[in-house]
Formats: sequence, structure tokens, C-alpha cells
Amino acid sequence: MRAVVTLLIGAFALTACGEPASEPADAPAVGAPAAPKTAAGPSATPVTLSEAMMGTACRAGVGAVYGQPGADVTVLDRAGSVITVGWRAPVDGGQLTAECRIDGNRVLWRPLDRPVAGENRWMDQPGDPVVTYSLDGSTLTVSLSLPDGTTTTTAEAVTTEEEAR
Amino acid sequence: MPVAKVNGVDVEFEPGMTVLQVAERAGEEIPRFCYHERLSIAGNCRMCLVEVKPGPPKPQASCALPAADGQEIFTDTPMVRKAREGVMEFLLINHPLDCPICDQGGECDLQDQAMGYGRDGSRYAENKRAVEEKHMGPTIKTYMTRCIQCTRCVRFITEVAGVPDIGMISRGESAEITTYLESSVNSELSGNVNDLCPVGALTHRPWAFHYRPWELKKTETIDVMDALGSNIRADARGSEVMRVLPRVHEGINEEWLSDKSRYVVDGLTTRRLDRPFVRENGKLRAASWDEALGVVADRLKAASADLVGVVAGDLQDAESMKAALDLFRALGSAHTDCRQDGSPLGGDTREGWLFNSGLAGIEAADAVLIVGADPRVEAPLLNTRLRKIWLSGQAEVALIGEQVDLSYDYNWLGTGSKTLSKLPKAATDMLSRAERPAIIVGAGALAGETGPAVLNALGALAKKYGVIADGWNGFNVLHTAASRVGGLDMGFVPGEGGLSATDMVKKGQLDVLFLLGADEIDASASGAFTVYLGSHGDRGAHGADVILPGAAYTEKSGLYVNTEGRVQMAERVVFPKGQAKEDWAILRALSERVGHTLPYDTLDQLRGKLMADHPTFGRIDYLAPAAAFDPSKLGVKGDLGDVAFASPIRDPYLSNPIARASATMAELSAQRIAPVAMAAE
Ligand code: SF4
Ligand code: FES
Repeated sequence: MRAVVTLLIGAFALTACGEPASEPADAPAVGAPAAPKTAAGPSATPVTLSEAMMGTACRAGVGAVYGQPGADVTVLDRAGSVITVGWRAPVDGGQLTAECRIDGNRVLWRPLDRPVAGENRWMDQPGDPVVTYSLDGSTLTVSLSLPDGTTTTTAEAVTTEEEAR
Repeated sequence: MPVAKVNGVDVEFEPGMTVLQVAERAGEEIPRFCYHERLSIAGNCRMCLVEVKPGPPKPQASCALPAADGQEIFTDTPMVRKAREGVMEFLLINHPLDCPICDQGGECDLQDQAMGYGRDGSRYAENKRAVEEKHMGPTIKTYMTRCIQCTRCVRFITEVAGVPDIGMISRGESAEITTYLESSVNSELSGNVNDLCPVGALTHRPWAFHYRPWELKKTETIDVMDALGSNIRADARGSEVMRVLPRVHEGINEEWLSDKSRYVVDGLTTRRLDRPFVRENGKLRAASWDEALGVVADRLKAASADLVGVVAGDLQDAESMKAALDLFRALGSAHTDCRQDGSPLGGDTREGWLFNSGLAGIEAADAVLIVGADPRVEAPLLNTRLRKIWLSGQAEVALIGEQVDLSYDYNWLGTGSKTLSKLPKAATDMLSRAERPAIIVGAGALAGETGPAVLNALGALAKKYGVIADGWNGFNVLHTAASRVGGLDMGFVPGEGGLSATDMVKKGQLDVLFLLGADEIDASASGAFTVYLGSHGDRGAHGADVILPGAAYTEKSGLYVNTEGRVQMAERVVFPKGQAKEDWAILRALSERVGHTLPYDTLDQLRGKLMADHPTFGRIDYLAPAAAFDPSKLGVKGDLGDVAFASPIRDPYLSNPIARASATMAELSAQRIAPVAMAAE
């Protein structure tokens, strides 16, 4: 199924002003500043993503954070707007998991496997890394900005097959 | 049986043996570098040269030469000696001979064999080649100029660990051992390559330049980082355990050890509880033993018997659990539990909670169904055995649970209880085809409310497909806690009307909660007066009102029962830290103060009582042949629901208080999560 990409005029206005887009009712408050704009970063064009495309953005976004190719991250579960993704741990091949949701042009995530419960929180606090995405035709660009200012951008082609995952 | 002559002496041998093995059988020592009993034969170091007749008039590599009937083998002729000297001279041409600054010095095969079989000088005056150091991860320190290209490391990591991360590039004088793009070795068994390396090319990074081997006091003991009870040797200098190495135990760990068991030792020196603490006005302050025990005793005496309870942790020895169980039963409490994870295991049938086929015995299985376990993470050295039978083509493996990388192929059937309730045809076919089918049940399948129903369903499955048949018991529970089987064997479960561990920590259930090294259960909501007896300032100690400093596993002699039901004795390597005492002795002192003096004054007396009450503890290192039992009676029949099975070990490198105190484990955990994420979290 091809994703239906619709421009959301209202959300565009909000995000353009540096405000986070509205959140799902059950999601924690987003306290992070807007994604830092970098030359290499994608444009902050907010879009409404199909369910499948949300999964793709989550896979790519979480993959960027954990050093995994998006294709190696799989969608394990969906509960409303929150998507659970998993990937194989380096070293011993165990499964690592995180929850993810799309907020405007940001990919927000919450690790699920940290041994200290407090570390399993939504990564949306000031000082947390920021992951943004943009979709240009069939190219999904994900940008990861770390607190130290380094930014990495990865782009991948979104195929029909991928969207269905 | 065929017969060969070794140095003139007749020796019988089994067909298929090599000349080196036959010579060893005759008691002759053959020097070797590349040959290793548990790895494939490479035949590339040429150190094992012998003279063989009939055959060409030249020395031959005995490790790669099949023995034959009527063969004459000579291991110590002038030709052999000269050939060995020549090989040794070649090996040393490019070796830096830096033994005084090499961590392998004193326990190096090259050093020893150069002394035994080498020349006393070198004729090589040219420049030696130098090879750059490689990055291989937090466990392996490389000094590749020392490498003699034996390829033991390559063969271990490919064949046993199942991760083809190390390889040799280039050839001739340019040959180098490296990892792909110098990435870390992605294996939970990586430390074994350091043991295998016959020279100082690969050494243990966490212990680099920390000791010289001859300074260390060596104690043979038992590992507690998982429920396998791997046999280890802990080497100490003064009061510090400097390193842990594997000992050979064919029934358990063969001669390997997981990185966690090996490199966790730095956690034994940090975050230690070395004196008693008492909470006053919300803050913990140091106290004397007398005061701390007095406070605990007063609370226990003041509380009603049905409002005190004890939870035993995952690293506890059997003796301290026995003392705690006796004490709380004497107090009149039925609230005793060793199952921090809420598992439903326990009861009358011991086989219902054992790994009945035995760890070595699993190699006889021809079909293995893994349910709710990740053996690679939970028990790496069981996983190597599963890999072995998969590799030989002898067994099919199927898995219900998280789709993880086990280092071998398996048939993934589904994520959880739904798959179990309606087993796919592939699984039923596999089990009915098999002559010796095995089911491995992990804690991930048994946790939560559906645990008893899942256990019951697995029991019924085992019965239906003949998992327990004449001479074969393939019903295998894989525990993750070293203390668990010992606890279950002695009945450290709730007595009649008693609360389970998960209920004990609920708000308002108890007045006094005693955590015996229990760090993996969240007692913060309980509201009870909490006493923590343990070795590390970890989760259990943080919320405690009184802390009683105990001994870590290397600081006490204790019995542990592994997942297959084998009782083993750990020995004291060093003394407990500061004012800390052995756990059983603390409980004995406490019992006197609460007016229920435990009937043993020494550890031997306590063991005597334990063995009298539970005879299984009386046979050390004995693996009883698994008795047949009716598995369909396990658990409680009920709705399996729709629950995804997930291993309870989310991060094996941070799964207990000692591991969480270890800098090396933190590094391994970071590598497991990936560097980007560490910056993120
Ligand atoms: S690094 Fe050690 S084990 Fe590996 S090939 Fe070289 S000498 Fe052999
Ligand atoms: S041990 Fe025989 S060639 Fe190396």
C-alpha cells in the first residue's frame, strides 16, 4: 500500500513557529525544544503519515539512534499512536526494544530494556538527542542531532514492500 | 582395535584418532600451538612434528595425520628434535620476545615451548616485522606483533561462538589476524579467545597489566552469574579477586566461560557494603553490628508472625537460604519465597523444575523446542551445546518467544502463549518425528499470571509427544538465577497461606520485609520496615531501613544447585569486605536475638542440617539420572491468554548487583546497546 501523504496546514503553522505538534492524549508532555535546524537536516515539513509510514519512520529513526540499519529494526506491536520496535542486540543477539511515536516532524522514542526503570523514559527532555524525519517523494530522510552538536543524516528509499512492514 | 607403536610401545587406539592423540595416549608430550581438542584441525603451526613409519622420510604434523594400524610413531628422534627447533626458530623470527612486559608472561605456551623445544639463540639479524594493534572490543587486548597465526581465535569464534567476526587477512609475511573493519567482536564468549591464544597476542583487556600470574593465589570455585554453575578458578592477590578463569567440567562448561562470568570480578570491589547501616530520620547512618541486629530483632519481635516475610535473591548460597528459612519458620511466618520473578515453579516433584536431560545430555536430543527463553543471553554455554547439535545436523530447533539471534538457525513459531495454545504443524511434526525430543522452558514463559497455565500446557505437551520416555527426560527448565534450584529444593517457597515474593512487596502486606540479597524485586511500594542483607549497595539496599553487610560469592563457602540439579560447592577466595560477615552467620546471630536460636553454631553443622532435611544436598557434583514423572500435573490448567514471552534478562551485563557495580560490564552493556544510544541515554 502506498502511503498517503497529506500536508497538514495547521500543524505546519505550529511547527514552523517552533511549537511541538499536538500529542496523543496518553503520551507524556514533550519538553524538548524544537529540532535544531542544520544545513544537512531535513526540512521540518510536518505531514500526516499513514500507519505503515509511521512504522517506517519509527524503524528508521530508532535505527539511527541505536546504530542499526532501518531494515534491521522491526515493528513488533502497535497500540494507538505508539509503535513498539525491536532489533537484535550486538554482542549476543538478544532482542532490544523501544516504543516510538511520531510528533510533528519528530520521531520520539522510549527505550524499554534499560535495567533502571527511570531510564526507560520518553527521550523528549532538553539535552536528549533529537530525531527528525522528512519525506520527499519516496525518500525518507532521518536526521539525528546529538547533544554535543553532531548531526547525522540518513536517507532511505521507501518501497511499497517496506511500507507494508 | 587398531594398534600403533609409539616410541616402541604398543598402543591401542580408536579408528579416527590422529597420531598426536595416539602419542598422547602413550603418555608422550607433543608440543603444539594450533591444535586444540575442541576446535577443528588447522595444521598450520608445524610444532607437532613427529617421525612416522611407514611414510616419507621427513617429519610430519601429527595433529593432522590420521593414525593407522601398525604405524610406528617416533616423538623424540634427532630428526624430530631438529625439526622442532627449526619450527620454533621460525616462529620466533618475528616474535618481539617482550615477555617481561607481556601479560601472557609466565603462562605462555610459546615461552614454555621455546624453553623446552627451542634453540638457545637466534640466527636472525634482520628487522622483525611489526603489526599494528587491532581494536577487538572491551574484552580483548591485542598486540598482534606477537601473533603466530595459529588461527585458534578464528576457529573458536567461528565454530563455537558462531560469530565469524575474527579472520585472517593477507598471506605470507603480511598475514594478519583482525576483525572486520576492526569492529568489536560481537560475542558473549569473546574472552575465551584470550585463553586460547597460545602467545600474548590476545590478552584480557580488563585485566591488562594488573597482575603477574605467579603473584596470584588460585582457588577453585563455582560461578553464580547464571544458573549453569560453571566451574571457575578465581585468582586473588591480597584481598582482591583479580581474575576468573574457566576450569574444565565436561558436564557443564566444558572449558569455556561467558564474558559475564569472567569479567564481572571488578564489580566485587566497588559499591560494597562494608559496615551495617541503620536509617535514622530518613537517612542511613553507619552503625555497629550490635545496634543493627538489635534494631532488626526488635522489629521482628514486635511484628505479628503473619506480617513478617523474607525474599531470597538470585545469588544466594543454599546455607544462608536454609538459615533464613529456618528462622522465619521459627518465627511463625509462612511468607518465604526465592522466586523474585513470580515464577510458579515449586511443589513436590523435583523434576518439575530441573533441566532434566542435563546440560551435556541435551546433546543427545534430536529435536529441541525452546519456549520463552533466550539461551544465548540466559545461559551462553548451554547455547554453545545447542549450536553444536544444530551444526552437526543432528537436531532441529524451534522457538516460541522473541525472535533473537541464537547463532544458529531455528524455526520461529511465534511470540507467545497463543502459539503454544495452538501449536503449528511444523512444531508438532518436529516433536512427533523425534526419538528424543526436548522442551526448554525459560522464565520468560512462566512469568506473570498465565505462568501456571503455560507450565501446565507445556507439561501436557511433553506428555503427548513422549518428551519423557524410557531412559530419556527432555523436560528442561532453564533457570537464570544461581540460587533458584537450591531454593526450590529446600522449599523456600510460601508456606501454607504464605504470600509470594510479588505479593510480599505490595503495599501494606507486611510489617517487616527481609531481603536476603534480593535486588531484582521492587520493594519500594511495600511500606514495610525493610532489612537488606547483601554485599552491594544496589536496589535492595537503597530502600532499606537496616543494611546488614554480607559476603559476595567469592567471599564465602557455599552450596549452589545448578539448573540441572547438580549440587556444587563454592569456596572462599578472599575474606568479606570490612565488617561484612558471611550471611549464614548474620542470620544465626539474629536468631539468638529474636529468641529462636538456630540449632547450628558452625557452617558444617548448618550443612549437616540442610543435608539431613533435604538429602539431595548431600551429593556434591552428582547428577542424578532424571527420574520419570508425570509432567501433565505441573502448573494449573487454565486459559493461556495472549501473552508474548520475553526473556527476563533484558541486559545480561546488568542483571545482578555485582554486574551493575562492574565497569567492564557497563562497557559491555554499552557496546550491546550501541554507542549512539549510550550518548542518547
Ligand atoms: S591472535 Fe593468538 S590465537 Fe589468534 S592466530 Fe594469533 S596467536 Fe593464534
Ligand atoms: S599443532 Fe600440529 S600443526 Fe600446529
